[in-house]
Amino acid sequence: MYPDEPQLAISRVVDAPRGLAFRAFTDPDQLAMWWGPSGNTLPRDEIEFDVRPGGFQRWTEVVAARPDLRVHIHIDLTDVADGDLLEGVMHVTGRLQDDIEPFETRFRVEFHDEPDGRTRLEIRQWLPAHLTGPSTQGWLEALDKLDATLLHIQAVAADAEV
Amino acid sequence: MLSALLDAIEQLAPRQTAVSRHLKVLEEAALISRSRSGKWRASHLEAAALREAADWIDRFRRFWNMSLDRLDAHLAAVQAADRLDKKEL
Repeated sequence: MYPDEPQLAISRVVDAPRGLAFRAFTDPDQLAMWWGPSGNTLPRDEIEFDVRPGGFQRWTEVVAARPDLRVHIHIDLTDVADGDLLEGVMHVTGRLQDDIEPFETRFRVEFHDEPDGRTRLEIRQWLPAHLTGPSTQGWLEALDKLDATLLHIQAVAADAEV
Repeated sequence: MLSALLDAIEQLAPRQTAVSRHLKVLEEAALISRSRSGKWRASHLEAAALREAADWIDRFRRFWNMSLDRLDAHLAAVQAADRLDKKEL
């Protein structure tokens, strides 16, 4: 259903130990404090978590400035390792911004120790299936190959200059 | 360097067939569509779907970056509160 390679990769170091960073994703009170752009709020009574492999995370997002929008997030957790890993499929439904149709997207967040008590988050996300037709996948793979080729050419050129 | 690159391409695909072979690969990946008219064969780029996917990726990248900025602030506040609690004990 999903191609193996994620189409979105974000690496970010946060200034907190791994256990605390993990809890920011898995404790309902904490997730509500930071998830989404500012102005995004998660009504506490609509947050429900059961964090374990095969468990779920559910919440609703509302934006004060756009009372017409109401986004429901339902994550089926496929893999959870305490303090290390969260992986699942996020189902996004409700009334979404910019007339976006409901969709589902696979994601993975890894938590890695960094020096000085910090944590590196490795976030990966996969395009929804309706956007991964053969044409899109072909282009993304072709662009990856082009990137790799250009890097190789730069490396060869740098060698030639020496 | 350029001649080395051309040599490599030459080895992979002899000149006469290289272009049609590359077009075949692109067609199989659905990046181009091809049609025949007389002795001419036209190839069309099929890039519309890529635009939609790129917009989606951009939207989520922005979403994550805005969220992670708020996460930084949240983690700083939680740890500051912890330090304060410990001091008061």
